[in-house]
Amino acid sequence: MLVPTFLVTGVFVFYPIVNSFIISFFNWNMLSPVKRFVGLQNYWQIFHDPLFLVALRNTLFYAVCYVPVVLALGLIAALALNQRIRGSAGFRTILIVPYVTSIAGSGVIWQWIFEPNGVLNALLRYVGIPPQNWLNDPHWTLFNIIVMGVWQQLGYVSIIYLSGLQAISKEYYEAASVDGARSWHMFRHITWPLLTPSTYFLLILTSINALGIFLQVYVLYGQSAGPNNSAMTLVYYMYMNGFSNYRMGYASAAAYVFFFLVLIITLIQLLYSRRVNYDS
Amino acid sequence: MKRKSTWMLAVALGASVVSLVGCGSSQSTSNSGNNSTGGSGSSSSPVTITFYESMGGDLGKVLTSMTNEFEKQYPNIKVQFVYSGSYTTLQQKITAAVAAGQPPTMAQVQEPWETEYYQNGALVPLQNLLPASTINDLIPIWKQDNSYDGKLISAPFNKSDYVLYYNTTLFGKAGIKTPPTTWNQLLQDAQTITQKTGTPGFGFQPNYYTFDMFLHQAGGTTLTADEKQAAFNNASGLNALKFMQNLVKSKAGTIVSANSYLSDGFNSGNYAMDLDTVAALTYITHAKFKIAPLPADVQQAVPTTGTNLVVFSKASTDEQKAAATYINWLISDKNTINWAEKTGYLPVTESALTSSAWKTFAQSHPNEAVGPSELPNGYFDVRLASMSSASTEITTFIGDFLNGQGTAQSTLTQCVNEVNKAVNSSN
Amino acid sequence: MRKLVSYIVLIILCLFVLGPFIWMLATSVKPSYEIFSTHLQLFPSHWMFSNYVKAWKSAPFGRYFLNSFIVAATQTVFSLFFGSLAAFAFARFRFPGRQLLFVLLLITMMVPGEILLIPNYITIARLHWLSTYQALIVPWLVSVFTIFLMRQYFISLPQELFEAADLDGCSIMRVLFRILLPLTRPIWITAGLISFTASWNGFLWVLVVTNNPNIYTLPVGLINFSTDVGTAYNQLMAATAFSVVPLIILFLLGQRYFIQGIARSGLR
Repeated sequence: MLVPTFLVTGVFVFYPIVNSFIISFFNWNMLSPVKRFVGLQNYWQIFHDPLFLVALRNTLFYAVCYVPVVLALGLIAALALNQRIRGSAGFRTILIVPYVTSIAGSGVIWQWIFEPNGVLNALLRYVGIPPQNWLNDPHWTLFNIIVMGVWQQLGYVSIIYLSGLQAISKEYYEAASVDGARSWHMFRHITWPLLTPSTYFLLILTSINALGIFLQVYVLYGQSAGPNNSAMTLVYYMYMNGFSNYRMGYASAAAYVFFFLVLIITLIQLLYSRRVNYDS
Repeated sequence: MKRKSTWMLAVALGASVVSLVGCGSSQSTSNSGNNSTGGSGSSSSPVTITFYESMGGDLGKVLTSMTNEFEKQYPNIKVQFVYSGSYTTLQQKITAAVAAGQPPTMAQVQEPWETEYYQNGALVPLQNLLPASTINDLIPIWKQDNSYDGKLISAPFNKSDYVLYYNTTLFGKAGIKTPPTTWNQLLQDAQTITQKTGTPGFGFQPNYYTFDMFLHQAGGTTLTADEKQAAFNNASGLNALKFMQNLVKSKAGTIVSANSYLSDGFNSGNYAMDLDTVAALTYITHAKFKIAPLPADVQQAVPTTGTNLVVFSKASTDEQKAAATYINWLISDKNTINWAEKTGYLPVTESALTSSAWKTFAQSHPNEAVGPSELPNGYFDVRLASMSSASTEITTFIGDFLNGQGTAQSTLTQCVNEVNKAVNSSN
Repeated sequence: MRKLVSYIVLIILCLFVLGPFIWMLATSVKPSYEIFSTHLQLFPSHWMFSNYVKAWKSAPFGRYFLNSFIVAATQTVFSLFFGSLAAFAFARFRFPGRQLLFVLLLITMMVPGEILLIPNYITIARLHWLSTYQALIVPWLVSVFTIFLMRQYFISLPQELFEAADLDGCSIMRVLFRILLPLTRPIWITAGLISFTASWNGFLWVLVVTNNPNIYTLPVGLINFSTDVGTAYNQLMAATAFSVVPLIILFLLGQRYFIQGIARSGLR
């Protein structure tokens, strides 16, 4: 039953991963078949590159801030959608629009929104708040990317939470209300525990996505990695070294460091999720 | 139970195999450039060349119609365009193809990539494929830009240089009759316009390229002749930085985000002047403007950009010859002029520039005449791939400096260190 | 009361979500010089719906739509099929190395696509699959996301469900298709929609392995509007808008299947 899955992933994921691992011990510029063996030199260079450490710090910081925000908002949205209100199909559809819009289009829009002469500052001016230099002030970088990320993924998170909510049988709630429970209790003792599979699923998924953030930054900050490299992320670092500098060996090494980081974080989350028991 | 599940599994696998095979046979028309069976001497057998390019939108339309004409003239050569997006995605596509050993016949490339491809032996020098008359006819700056180690490797195609765009409406309002020709005049005019019209007089992007342009105009160069070290830790570098700082401090200049196109803000009337590529000309559809040569400081220095055409050595002999024929046709006088007239890029040969066809065009199109007139003072950017990450860093430093952090000297030192690190990184 | 709060929450969130999109639509009908004017206004001075026509005509979008649909539909169907098989195996059977294999699958999600790009391209080139539909589809026949999502829900289903089926003498496939899938319909519809979206918006891979414009999908069509010296933003926004429409329709349709209160009735 697992054969087709592993066949496809074997060829298109595992093989490149192993390939990449081997290349990380070489210097290869992708253009000539010549690969120069350098052992652990790439890894050594990575850990001594201040830019890599900046990328690491930025990425972790972003992930830690972004994940709870998007999960919380997504859950709130899903709870609201789960009420029997009119037009919920409409709301659901609206929420998913950013997720289905391609980043080529939406990235450009967010650039305009954050521009000094852009939409956000214009709105702030109406309300009397002074305009901010969103894109050029490194302090705002994290905020910008989180806002963009939440905008894009809110619908997706809420849809998954919603399907999880709807998989909870109504009988639980009926039994509880017969017992006189109020909504907060019902949430805490029925909804939240029964949502744990969804929560862990989303936690792992959004963490992996957050750690691998690249496209949004690339599209929002164009050719640079933000002011003061405040938007330099691990994958950006990899991409820059691989494609702009033609240092595929080095980029592969960076990819492996990234990969181990994500793996460790995910394993921790997985282990923790198994210790939580959810009754069925 | 087990039997049934394995049966279903087999069906699933079988279905996938069948669908894959089915899909495969329906896509037979496309092929990479390496399908000919290795150089059959006859030159009259049809040849298809693949061309990875980035000419989107209207540019693509012009290129396609020109190429259709070419194919009519040379019926046994077929040019297959592979539109590859922006220069960034084009580079990724070419690199992947070269890495897989299946490069296209020819491609548009930027110089830093070309250096890498050349040093790895992936290219056929066009010196061997183009007629000497064409090679000698190339405008000197383009010929230099396309040559490595004394040989012509590629051919210039869509090349441009930078000019001063100025908004005649705003100039009129501010009472300025002629465009500035020196840095001081630029600063003064910009200040006047800002004061008298309320619109900033000058818009620029605080990035490496702008700095490099001012550096050259201040008499400096980016790297030493052996390309091993930064060469701007001197007065020229300082002056370039200070000029940018003055523009911002005096409120004469407004900073434009590095992600936007200067032409967009100019077109919307957000600033009265900018220094931009001639190729942006067709995008200025709304503002009333004129074009003038770039202002100078110690000397005139005009950045040139654009892409070159390379032919890959893995292509068969027939394909290489066909590509050379196509390239030769594209840059022949009539066609380079036609391309320039329709797109705003510049003609690439001397004889095109001195021809009566161009002279007539230039007389009725004074804006388009400026770009070519500056070419004797043209320079091109350092052609090293390693500079790209350095340029990103430098852009950050400059942005910070203009935001008020650090001094000109400290910023300059940072930039110098960054460049030295980049050009010396082992590969 | 709860409903009122829900309405308020949803309206706020929707405004946040729609805001940029409205700006995008406004841009799509503006003349180009108004897009960057320092005096921002939402409504254009004159409405250029012709931008949509221009955008549509600038590239063979009809063909791109068709290709996007073929690729996305095939991928979705297969990834749901393979995914449910795999999820079922992981959830139901206890076999040695189960955890390890599952973690291996998760690993595939952790590797950034940029690193896989060149090795996979080389594989495709060696298989002579460049510029073919299979190059676009096959690497993505498996969606670990789908497997993960479905496994979570299969796990949370009570054992009694499976045992009852066993007692009835059902084969694995029967259990899977006749019982589990109908019960978890919202889950796999969600998974399907998300797979379809990912496929529909996939860009870099398509661009790199395709040399033939007949196979281009929609996102590749979108890059047509940018050149290195300027972008026709209004047309780009128009094209982005009409690229999104099929996905929105799909989501609207898919939502009818979100049935409330399932899963338990089979036991009583």
